[in-house]
Amino acid sequence: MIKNRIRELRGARGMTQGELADACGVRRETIVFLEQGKYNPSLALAHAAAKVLNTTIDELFQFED
Amino acid sequence: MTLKTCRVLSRLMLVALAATCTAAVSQKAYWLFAAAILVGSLVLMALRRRTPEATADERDRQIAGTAASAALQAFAWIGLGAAAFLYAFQDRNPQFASIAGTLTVAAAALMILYELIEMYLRRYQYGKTGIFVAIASLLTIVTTLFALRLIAGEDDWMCQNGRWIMHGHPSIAAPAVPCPSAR
Repeated sequence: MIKNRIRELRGARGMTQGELADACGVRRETIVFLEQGKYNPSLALAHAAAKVLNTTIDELFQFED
Repeated sequence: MTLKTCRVLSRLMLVALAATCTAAVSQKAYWLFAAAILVGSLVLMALRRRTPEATADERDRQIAGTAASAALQAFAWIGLGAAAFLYAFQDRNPQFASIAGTLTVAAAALMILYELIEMYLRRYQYGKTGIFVAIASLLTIVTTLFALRLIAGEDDWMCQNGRWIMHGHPSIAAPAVPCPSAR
């Protein structure tokens, strides 16, 4: 299971889901499912999200056994 | 245009396209079939262009792949099931055998095309050339068309006004059962 802090970090930067989606090159719906933990992103999308939110993939995603 | 509107219109367009193509083929109006495919494709492309949000991202492609695989399997199972049913009752109408043959070949051709494309993507995804998939697709289409021509029922017995009428040069004798419309 992969948890993430996208909603938290996005909120802290005052970004909307649509703005984050545009910055990452995906549709807003994908960000919605990502924040809900219902979609596991590709490494490229994880990297793009981490870059936009000015953090690292390790900080953004927590892998649980 | 919103994404939701685009999807609804696309589905309606596909239903209309399927109905038009079916009617065109049953009436042997092949020009109408080709025109419907052309117009339908252009309309679908225009819908997509007018909907910026319709641009697929990685999640869309993942869902589309799963949906395509499921649709392929569903078509194969339903098509082969229907073909078996039609073969079983071909003595009631000689056209059942032709329809069953077409369904079987279509299901097989679709599976072969899927396998070829999947093989290409697995082996050559990072390669330089798309020539392999082009040749494989062309061969599949030509083979399918040839097979369809062979079993399309051009040379068959047709039931007209209660009598079996020779259509083309069928290789078998007229059906022994009464012509359905004569009952």
